[in-house]
Amino acid sequence: MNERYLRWAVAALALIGAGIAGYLTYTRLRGFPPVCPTSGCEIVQNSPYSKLIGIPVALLGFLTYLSIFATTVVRHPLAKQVGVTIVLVALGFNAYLLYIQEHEIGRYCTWCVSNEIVSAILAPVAIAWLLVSSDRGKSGAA
Amino acid sequence: MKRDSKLAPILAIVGGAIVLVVALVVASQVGNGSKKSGSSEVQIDSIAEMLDGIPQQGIELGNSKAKLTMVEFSDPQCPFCADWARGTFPSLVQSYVRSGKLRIEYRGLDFLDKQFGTTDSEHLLRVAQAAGFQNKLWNVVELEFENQGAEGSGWATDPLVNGILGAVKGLDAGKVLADADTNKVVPMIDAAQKLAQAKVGKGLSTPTFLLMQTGSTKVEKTIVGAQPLSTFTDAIDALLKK
Repeated sequence: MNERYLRWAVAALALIGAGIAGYLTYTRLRGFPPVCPTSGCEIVQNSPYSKLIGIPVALLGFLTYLSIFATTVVRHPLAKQVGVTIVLVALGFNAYLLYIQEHEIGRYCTWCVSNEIVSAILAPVAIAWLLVSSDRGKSGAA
Repeated sequence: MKRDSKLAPILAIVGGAIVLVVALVVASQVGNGSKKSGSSEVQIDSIAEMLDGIPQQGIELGNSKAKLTMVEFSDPQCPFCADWARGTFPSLVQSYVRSGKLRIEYRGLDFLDKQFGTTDSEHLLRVAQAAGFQNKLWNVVELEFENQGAEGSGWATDPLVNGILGAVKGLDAGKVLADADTNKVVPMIDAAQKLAQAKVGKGLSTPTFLLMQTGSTKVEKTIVGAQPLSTFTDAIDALLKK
């Protein structure tokens, strides 16, 4: 697949993730509950797990997605590797957050789950982006 | 060789990601974990922030006109009670008490002193009840749980209790300590014991929670143990719809 399309797909998914995380960050910092079909969002947002070292997890997610987006824009040999590493870290940590919602809090936050789905889609796309660009670099060198 | 040179950076990326995820999960768990026992350093955490602005009156937390009342029976030395206080209580406060839907009554029991031959539970109960005279009982109770040591180890030392009282803004710690040594606190501790016997009976263990409509003595739901948050939210949501 075309490297450019994969890069755009990574960028678009990162922006969607940033939008969701940004909304959660905004509601968290303004102190009102997110619009949610259940009470899960409010409960998860208010749970002790909603902060990491005192920083709202939603804010960390927002910055993470912005960083991923930045790696699709920056023209640097290491940008892709850094981007994919961040994507994989986000995937792993989102899996942990999903586990916490299921087993520790007993409630799902719809917005958080949406973000976790974005993260799960983003991971294979980002890996494909890395592999395709690696292949192109290899064939180009040959 | 070519395959190795292609795989190496990918393996480095995956390895680095795994290390970072483990670090984040550990940081998350440590941030929500308990304090090591045996330390006299008071862990203040964010209890003051959690309770800030919520009305307190003696043993009560929350709006006296809330639709539902939850009675909490717990022992300051009980580790399951502390788990519940750290893990579930803050979410209930934020989602139901702060919005005026639920009020909580603290009914502290001296359950474990006899078992371990200690006086820690009684000491901490007296201090908490005395703080209730200044409408700061919940700040003290939650700090006691936050700083809980191993049961039966004699962890409730004077320096620790003083540190807890000092951490509560607006609390006259000297008056609390003076009141805690008098018989003024005894009726509340006795009343908790009598209520537990009347509503739960011989099978009582801590923590136990009773849910009822405010103003009624009829128990709508009894929850035994440090159950997951969903057990409480399901029961509360169902009763709020009644």
